[in-house]
Amino acid sequence: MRKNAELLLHWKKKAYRHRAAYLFVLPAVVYFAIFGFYPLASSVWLSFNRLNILISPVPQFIGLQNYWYLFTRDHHFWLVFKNTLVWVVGSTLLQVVVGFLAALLLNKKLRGRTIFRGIMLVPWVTPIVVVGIAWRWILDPHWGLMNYYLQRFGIISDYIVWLGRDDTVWPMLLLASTWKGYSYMCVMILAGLQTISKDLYEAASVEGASSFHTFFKITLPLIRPILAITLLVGSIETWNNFRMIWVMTEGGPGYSTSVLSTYVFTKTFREYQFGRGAAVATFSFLFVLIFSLIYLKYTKAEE
Amino acid sequence: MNTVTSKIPDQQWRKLRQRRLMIQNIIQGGNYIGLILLSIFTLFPILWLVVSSLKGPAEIFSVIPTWIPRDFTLRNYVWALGATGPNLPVFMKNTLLASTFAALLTGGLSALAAYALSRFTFPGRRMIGILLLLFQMFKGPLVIVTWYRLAWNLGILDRITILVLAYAALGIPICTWLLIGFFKSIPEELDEAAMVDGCSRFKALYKVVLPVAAPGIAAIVLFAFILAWNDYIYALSLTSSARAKTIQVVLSEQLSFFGQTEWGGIMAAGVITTIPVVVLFLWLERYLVSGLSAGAVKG
Repeated sequence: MRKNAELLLHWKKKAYRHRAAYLFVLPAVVYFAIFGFYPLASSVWLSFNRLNILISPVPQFIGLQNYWYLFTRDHHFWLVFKNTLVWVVGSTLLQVVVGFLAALLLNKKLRGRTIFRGIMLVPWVTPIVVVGIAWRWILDPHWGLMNYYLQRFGIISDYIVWLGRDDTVWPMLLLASTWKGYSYMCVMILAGLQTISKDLYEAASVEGASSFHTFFKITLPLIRPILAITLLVGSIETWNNFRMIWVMTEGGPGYSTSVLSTYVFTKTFREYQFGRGAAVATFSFLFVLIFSLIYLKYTKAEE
Repeated sequence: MNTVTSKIPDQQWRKLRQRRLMIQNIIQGGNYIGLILLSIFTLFPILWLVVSSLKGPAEIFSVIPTWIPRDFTLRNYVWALGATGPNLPVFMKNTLLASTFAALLTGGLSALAAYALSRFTFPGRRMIGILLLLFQMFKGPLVIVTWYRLAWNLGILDRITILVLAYAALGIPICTWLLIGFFKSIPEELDEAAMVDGCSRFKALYKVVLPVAAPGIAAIVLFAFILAWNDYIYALSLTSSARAKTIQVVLSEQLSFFGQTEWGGIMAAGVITTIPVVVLFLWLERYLVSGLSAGAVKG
């Protein structure tokens, strides 16, 4: 009993000593507990319940049945999961590659690069719905630029319904997402490039190293840590990137471009299966969390 | 080095130098071509959107695309702003209200938290930092089910209030993170000097640090505004009528309603929606870009 009281006193003293700090962070922490942590926890809890808002607003505990349903009986779940992997790997890699090229260019003393930096970020701030409008107009089967130019240059013979065919819809989604996202990657990588001392490059050039060599022997090794973080942040962003796909295809045609994040929405707000939607969300969340932890451990171990 | 080069005959040396210069020129040329190609790739969808929004229907739906409108018209913009079309002003007001309140809430809470996290060492500081990063990653579709139920239970579904709450939750982690870096760049001696002169912590913050930090905090508030303005998923799932629906949701609805017939009007509406954020962002670019990337370099 006395020990407990002492401990309590100890904590009280500690809290008192740091009272100013706690007072400052308190509002944000409380806000976050309510509107950040609670939704996440509640989402996990809901995934163990049956809740169809059309039938009854009261959740009913059913254990793991939602997961069981998704993994064994849902016709689309594994397709959606596979799509998610393709989407995350494809979109992130393309964004990083184009972003890297842009960063290398911006790191050089070229005239007009400050203007380009401004231009580059325009797609990134453009509202996603407007991005959808712009690209759907370009890809329009009748009046779109894509069909017109490709036919004129003899690459295709007939007009293509780009977003309506299983084999063309993914490349077009990747094109649009690269356009939207590469500048963010570029900004990150550029910040990394600028930390590399100019002396290193000068030394390499004095020694007569080719730019090819310089890139692989100096730039790449030195930028690896920041590249690793950029890849991780980019993958997680893409994993949760509901909006790009929703404004372009809404996951269609059929379910061929549905990914976990759009599937949550479909399950919840199209089928009103809140429990199953929450199960998809929880599965998605756990997968990303575990992936991130493994990734971080692996990249840390390597350094 | 010099001893080596002096052994090479003069003429050969000049030739070598010339070759090297030529290669450098080629590389430089390649760089410029790369920059130009990237600019074209980046700009053409936006440019095409703007150009198309200035055309009449006959020219929009023509087999051969024109990059300079032949019959320049503002009719699409009239449609976009008028009641026969999407009636944008109503929804713009909703978006403006939601984004403004969310930005102020985000700015206030983030500034307080960031000040503490950058100035004090206290138990739990690291934990809070990590949680902030984590929640930056887990948002949107993962929690949307709960947000819907939360709004339902509180009776604020389809109200601007729920959007304000959601957008603040969306913005606080990243904004706090950006502001920590910003506060760290303000010398601590400043608050210490104020406290030596008899100010309390709060007074030091309020009277001395805040005026210095004002531009940074303003930039963050505007950034939070952009985040909220550009949101799609929260507004799509939490609002359903003109009472709270945002401009993004209305635009996407218009696209599925009128997609085939009113392309021009929809594109004009898109341009109207984009202008405020692009202008704001380009104005703030220098502050934000260095802040965003500083986090990556340190992380």
